[in-house]
Formats: sequence, structure tokens, C-alpha cells
Amino acid sequence: MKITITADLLDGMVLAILERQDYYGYALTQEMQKVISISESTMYPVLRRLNQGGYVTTYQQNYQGRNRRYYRITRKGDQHLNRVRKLWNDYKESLDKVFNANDKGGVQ
Amino acid sequence: MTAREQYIQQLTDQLASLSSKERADAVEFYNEYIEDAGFTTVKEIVDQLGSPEQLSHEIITKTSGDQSVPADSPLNQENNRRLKKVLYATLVVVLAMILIPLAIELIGIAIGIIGAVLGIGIAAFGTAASLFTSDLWAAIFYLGGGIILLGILIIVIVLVIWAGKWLVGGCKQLVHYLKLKFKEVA
Repeated sequence: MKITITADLLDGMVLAILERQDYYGYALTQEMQKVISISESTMYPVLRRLNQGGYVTTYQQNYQGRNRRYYRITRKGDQHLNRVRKLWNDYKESLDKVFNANDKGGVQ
Repeated sequence: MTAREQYIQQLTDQLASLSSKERADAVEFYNEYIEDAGFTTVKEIVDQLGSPEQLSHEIITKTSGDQSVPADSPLNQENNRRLKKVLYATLVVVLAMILIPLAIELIGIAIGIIGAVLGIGIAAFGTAASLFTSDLWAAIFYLGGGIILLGILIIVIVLVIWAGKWLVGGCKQLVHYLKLKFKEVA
């Protein structure tokens, strides 16, 4: 059984990773997979969406004679990330209240 | 042809329905991905990315035709919500502007009907009373008429109360429904 992760949260996670540094597609996917198990085919639609929304930009860098496309977070993306962070914290607190309500001396 | 080139060729074919820019971007992404991942056989690629058919399907369904703001972008979702909010708020105001005067009019009509019947009834009893001493049969006639009108009055009052309850119930349901719809998009 897996808990489905929403598109908004996926977007936020990618932005959070890019906040640390720029990444190219494969490396970014690796970083995501350290944290959650997503399929490799998920990343491209997410990045495309973020790019279209103006939350990331891309540039190319030469690597061993070929081009590598890097992704970089924009200011707009940074603002969006902070919005997602706040939403996530509120969401997390609400769910914790429900799931962990029995921690304080409930009947076990 | 290397495994990568073979896979990418098939992927490109499968993405024919996309615009050339969309297709080029997607193909570039996965071409680099396969290269960076170091996959050397088609089996390795398919194990990780799925078959060209599966991967292309994933890409196509997540790629909308609108270039400026994709259907599922966070920005577009927010705008849709705001629009719906405004629509429902406007609907509520318009309904209120129609229904409140209507309700007042209906109350007025009900009062009118009751008043008219009551008035006629009183007139009948009054006439009966005045004729009691002079013409007994005429008096009884008017008395009978008055009682009939009293009966009609009771029926009318019951009907009005029933209609009123029905209307109020309907309004409550409408308000409840609109509240839910508003909360959905809030």
C-alpha cells in the first residue's frame, strides 16, 4: 500500500531540492528517489509543469563533449516553495492531531 | 545503433501526436537521462523507464495542448477556484434579490386571501345577526353562509401554513447546497 503524493507536493519537493543547487534531469531524479519512491517517468512532466509556470528555468552546460540541461529555481519558484512549505506544515499538523491523538495516555 | 538510440527512436515515433517542440523537449530529456544513467541495454532502459509506448503515454497525458499555462499548473488551479468563488457569490446575491421580494409578495397575497374570507365571513355573521329579529330564515341563511366561510378560512389557513413550510424547506435546501458548493472551492 502506498500513500499517493499529490502534484503540488511533488512540485514543492523538486523546488526544495533545486533551492540547494541546480541539478540536471538524472541527478535530480536520484535526489528525489532518496526521499520517496517515484517512477522515473514522473519527473519529466513535473519539470515541464514547473518550467511552464515560470518556477524553474533551464540552461545547458557542456559535459564530456555533449550538452547537459540543468534546472534552476527562479524567484517565483522560491515564493511558490514557501507557500507549499506553509501548506505542508499546516497539513502535517492537522493530520498529526488525528493520527497521534492516542499518544497522550489513551487506552491501548 | 546503440540501445539508447533504438529506444529514443521508438519514443520519438510514439510522441508523434505532440507538437515538434514538445516532442523535442521530451526526447532531449530522456536521451540525456539514459546517457547519464549509463544504461547499455534496451532491457535496462525499459526496466527503469517503461516501454516507449508506456513512457510516451505518460508524457502525452501530462502534456496539455495549452502552452502558456498548463491545465494542472498551481497557478491555473488557483484562478479557477477564485472564479468559481465569485460565480457562486454572485448567484447567491441574485437569488436573494429575486426571492426576498417574491416572499414578501406571497405573504401579502396570503394575508389578503385570509383577510377577504374573514371579512366576508364576518359580514355574513353580521347580516345574520341583524336579520335575526326581522326575517328568521334569511338570518339562518346568512348564518349558514358564515359557517361555510369559516370552514373555508380554516382550510385556507392550513394550506398557507403548509405552503409556507414547503417553501422554507426548499430555501433551506438551496442555501445548504450553495454553502457546500462555496466551501468546495474555498
